[in-house]
Order: sequence, then C-alpha cells, then structure tokens
Amino acid sequence: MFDYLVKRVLQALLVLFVVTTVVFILLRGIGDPVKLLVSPEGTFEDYENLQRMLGLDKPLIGQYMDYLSGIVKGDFGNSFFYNRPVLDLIKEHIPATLQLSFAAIVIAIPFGIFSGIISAVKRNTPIDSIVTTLSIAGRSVPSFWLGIILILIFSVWLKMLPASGYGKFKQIILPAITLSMGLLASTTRLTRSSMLDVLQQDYMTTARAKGVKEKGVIVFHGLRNALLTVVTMVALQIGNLLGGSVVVESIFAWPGIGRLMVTAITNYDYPLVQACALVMAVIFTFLNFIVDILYTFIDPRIRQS
Amino acid sequence: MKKLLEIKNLEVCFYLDSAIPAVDGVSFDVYEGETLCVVGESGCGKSVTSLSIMQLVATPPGRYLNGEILYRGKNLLGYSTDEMTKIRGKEISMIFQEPMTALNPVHRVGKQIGEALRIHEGYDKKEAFKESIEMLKIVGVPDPVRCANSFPYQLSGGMRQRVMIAMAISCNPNMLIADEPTTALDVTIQQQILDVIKNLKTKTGMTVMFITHDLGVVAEIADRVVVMYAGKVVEEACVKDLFANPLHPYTRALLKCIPRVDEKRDKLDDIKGIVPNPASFPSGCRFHPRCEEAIKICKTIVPEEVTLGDRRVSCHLVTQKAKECRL
Repeated sequence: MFDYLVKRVLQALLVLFVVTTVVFILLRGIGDPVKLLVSPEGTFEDYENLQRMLGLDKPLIGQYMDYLSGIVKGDFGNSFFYNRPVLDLIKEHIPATLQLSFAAIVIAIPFGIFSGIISAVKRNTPIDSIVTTLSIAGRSVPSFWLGIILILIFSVWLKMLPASGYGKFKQIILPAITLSMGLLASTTRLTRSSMLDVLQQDYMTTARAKGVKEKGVIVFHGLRNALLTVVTMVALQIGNLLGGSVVVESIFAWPGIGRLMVTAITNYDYPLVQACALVMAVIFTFLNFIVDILYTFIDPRIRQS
Repeated sequence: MKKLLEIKNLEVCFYLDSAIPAVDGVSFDVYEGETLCVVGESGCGKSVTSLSIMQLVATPPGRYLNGEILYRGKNLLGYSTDEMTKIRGKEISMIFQEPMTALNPVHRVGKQIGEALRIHEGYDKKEAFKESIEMLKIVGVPDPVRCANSFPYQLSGGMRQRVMIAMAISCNPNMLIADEPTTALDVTIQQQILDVIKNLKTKTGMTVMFITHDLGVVAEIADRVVVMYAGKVVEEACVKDLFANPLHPYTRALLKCIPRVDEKRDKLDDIKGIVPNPASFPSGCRFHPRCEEAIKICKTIVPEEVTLGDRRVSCHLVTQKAKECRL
C-alpha cells in the first residue's frame, strides 16, 4: 500500500509539472500584457519600464525558471491586473467555486443514482424512456445555453430566482442546477447500465431465493455492486465540474475561481492564469487520488490485493 | 407418504424473439422427506421448473401460462411477491449451480448467511453472524470463524457451495431445491457436497428436490426420479426401477451413455441428434427424431401418459404393450 501511495504521489507531481509547463508556454502566445497595461499615451520607454517591472524582459527560459522557483517557495507572484499576490486572490475566490461544485454534486449524485436505478429496474417502460431521453438531453445541452434558458424562465418570466449574485441561498440554485446537469445525466446513464448488468447476476437470484424483499435485493445486493463502476466514472466527472464552473460562473457572475480565470485570460494576467490552472489541476489530481482510495473500500477484492 | 409439493400441468413460456415454451405441461409430486431427482439434458426445462416453484422466473420475458404448484395444498403461483418472500428461504430454499457467481462478491460470507435469519427469524446482526458460524460448522467448513469473515472470492468452489448450503438451511426449511449444485465442482468435491446434503437430510428430515444431469449422482442420492425431455416429463419412477428397467427409450439411451467399470468400450455411447430447439419442437413425441425405436405413430401423435403402479411414462411403445397385455 505504501509503495502504491508513493507511486501515485510521484505520478501526480509529474502531471502537475506538465500542466504548469504547458500553461506557461501557451499563455505567452495569447498576447502581450504590457501593451494592454501601458496607457495609450505611454511612450516606448514606459513600455520597457513596465516590461522590466513585470519581469517580462527576461528570456522565456529565465521567466520559466523564476516561475518554477517561485512555486517551490510558495510564491506565485503578483497579479498584473490587480497588483496583488495571486495566492490571496485565489484564496478569496475558491470558496465560492467549492460551494458551487459541492451544491452541484449534492444535486447530481443522489438524483442521478436514484433515477438510474429506477430506469434500470423499470427497464423498457415509459418511465425508463423518459429518464433516458432526459439524461441524453442533459448530457448534450451545453451549459451556457442551459444557464441562459434557466435565467430566462426562472428570473425573467417567473421572477422566482435571482439571475446572478453570491451569498444568499436563492442565488446558488440556478448556477448549481446548470452545473450539475452534465454530471446528473452521466450518473444516471452509468447507474442504469451498471444496474442492468447487476440485475442479471446470479447473486441477485440467490438473494431473492433467501426471501429478501425486492427493495432489499436492489439496494443491499444490487446497488453496492452497481456503484463499483459508477464511483470511478462519476468521481472523474467531478473533475470536469471545475471546467464547467468556468462557463457557469461567467454566466451567473459567480465570484469563483472560474470567473477569476476567465477575466485573467482576457487581461493577459499571466501569473493569475497560471496559478488558477495549477490550482484546478491540483484539485483534479487530488480527486482522482481519492477515487482510487474510495474504490478499494467499496470493492473488497481490491482492498486485499 | 404425504405430498409436500404437487406440480400440476405447469406451463412456462419465455417471450423473446419467438415464444419459447420452456416448460410444457409438467406434472409431478414431491413427497415429504424424500429425495426426488429431476434429470434431463440442458434446456429440458428442469431449472425453469425449479425456479417456478420459488416464483423466481424473470417475468418478463417469462410467463406462467398455466398450471398449479401446490405447496401443502396452497397454490404458490397465486401468491403475491410479498407472500412469496415468506416462503423463500423459510419453507423452501434453493441452492444453485455456480457457487462462483451465486454469492454476492461485496458482502462477507457470514453476513450473507445471516441475512435469511434476520429476515425470517428476527435475529439481530450479531446473533445472525454467530449463528452463521454454527451453520458453517454443520456443513463441514474447517475454520468456520475465518470463513464467515471472508469474502466469497477468498474461498474455493467447494467451500462456496458449502456456504450456499449453509445459507439455504439456516432457517430449517422443509424443502431444499438443489439446482445442479455439483455440476461446477470437480468429482471429489462433488462427493463431499453430496455427503453434506445426505447428512443434513438424515439429521433434519427435510425434503430434497435435486436437479441434475448426472445419473451417477442420481444413483447415489435419489429415492425417486423424474426424467424430463424438451419441456415435458417422459418418465417417473423410483430409482431402483428406473435403473433396473427403464421404460422410456430416452431413459434407456441416457443410461447407455454412462461408461461402466466392467465393460470395455472403444467409444462412449451417445444419443444421436441434438436437443430440439424449444422454438420449434418436433410434432408427436418430441423425442422421436432421436429415438432408435420410433414407430409411425410417434411422428404425429403426442403419447399419452401411462401409469403403471407407482411409475409413469409417456411413450407409444409402452402404451401399445400395455394394451396388448390387457387383451
């Protein structure tokens, strides 16, 4: 187990290193932040001064080395645009993102598993068709469209829920639903197919032959086996929520790390984008790590090998 | 002897691409305390018959078209699923062919055995687990405590089948249905499992219905035998009579297939042809295309069942002989 952990940590570090490097290189291609920051009346000298101040006058490899050594020291630099330490900015914005992701998970997982079981147990009935259709739709609808439609219906027409903002419970509902939709749909699909497979298994007949009631057969004997596949896939999808939050936060003006990153990109704010990307990558790898550990708890065959 | 179970004219059909009459008018009785073997090739409907008793046939695609299954005079097919759960595991238990897949891979063995006790006898978790260790002792598991704490994948096939038996007998059922419990095991383990079942029977006096295609097993444990072919019962007799004087050509052919120690053979006998496709059974006697003794009438007319003392048989040859004798 210890060897395994060490191996996983090393793998994670490698992933993070690659992410850092790729983001660093790609960013230099999007545009020149100095041109954006220097005032329109500024001289060429102003430009060069600013460039020097931001450390962008050094050759690329030098900048990269500075960046890496900064990370090791825990210093991610200052934001060009806000002129504040990047880490502080991220600390301010990450709770909002975590809240939103958490809310989306709380919606998606229970509902997804529940509707997946229902549609597997009631296979080939109208209920199954409805659930299947809805989940395919949920999987296919892009979140920027869904978000706008929800705003239109619930904020503009029905005036039930606010279209944007942060802090009140009502304000999290629409963005959380929008963000959860993809995860909800894929959890449903996965649970359904996995449950269908499990329903065919001999041990389900054994359980029935013992006198276990149908609900007990499904929940106690079926669900746990069905969840083996669902857990891995779903947990990987949770990582995707982070990507989704970039879009959803922008639509609903949700002050999370996703929106922070989008504004940072439009501002050519190199240090901020780099740090945001790194944070997301860290969360993503960490989640994968947790999934593997979790998996061993559900499947005893893995725990002991 | 008292009848414990009466199956009357049972018809079970599966509706897949076409209608498949897996069990077609099967009738036989099971007497209290006996061991009844149901014999036949794969696909003859013996498993479906046994699953029907417990109402465990998946519906759909299956459907009970006709017939009655009387347990102590009450028709089980008329029971609701809730009523059936009170019968399953308590009155009638079942063990299955594949001990590898019949146990739930994610629960400890002890928990799985104890489950029936918790449902039917109101045991709490701890009591049930303790009792499951006792059950494992009864079925001859060498280290019952460790076994109860194991997961199925940690046990051998023979051990798993013992676990299945422990599970099935935990609530002292009146009847045990064993659906080819030895088929997936190697011969020495088969013998051990048969011994376990035989011992339990002498101890508790429970009735056993044993599904198998292995006539060696039949000779070893059966009191009476029902021979099935293509969804129908072709012969029923007590085990001695059946082996000494098989009446149906199919039974004779089956017995001929068993190699004997005192005979030298170059080639094993087999029954020519293949098991008919249930979607299109042959007309007349369903065995006639493979029967070496078939006569004209076999091709067109379904043979009626003849009762001769305590045995039954459905074959035109026997019917004719019986008529000749009477004349």
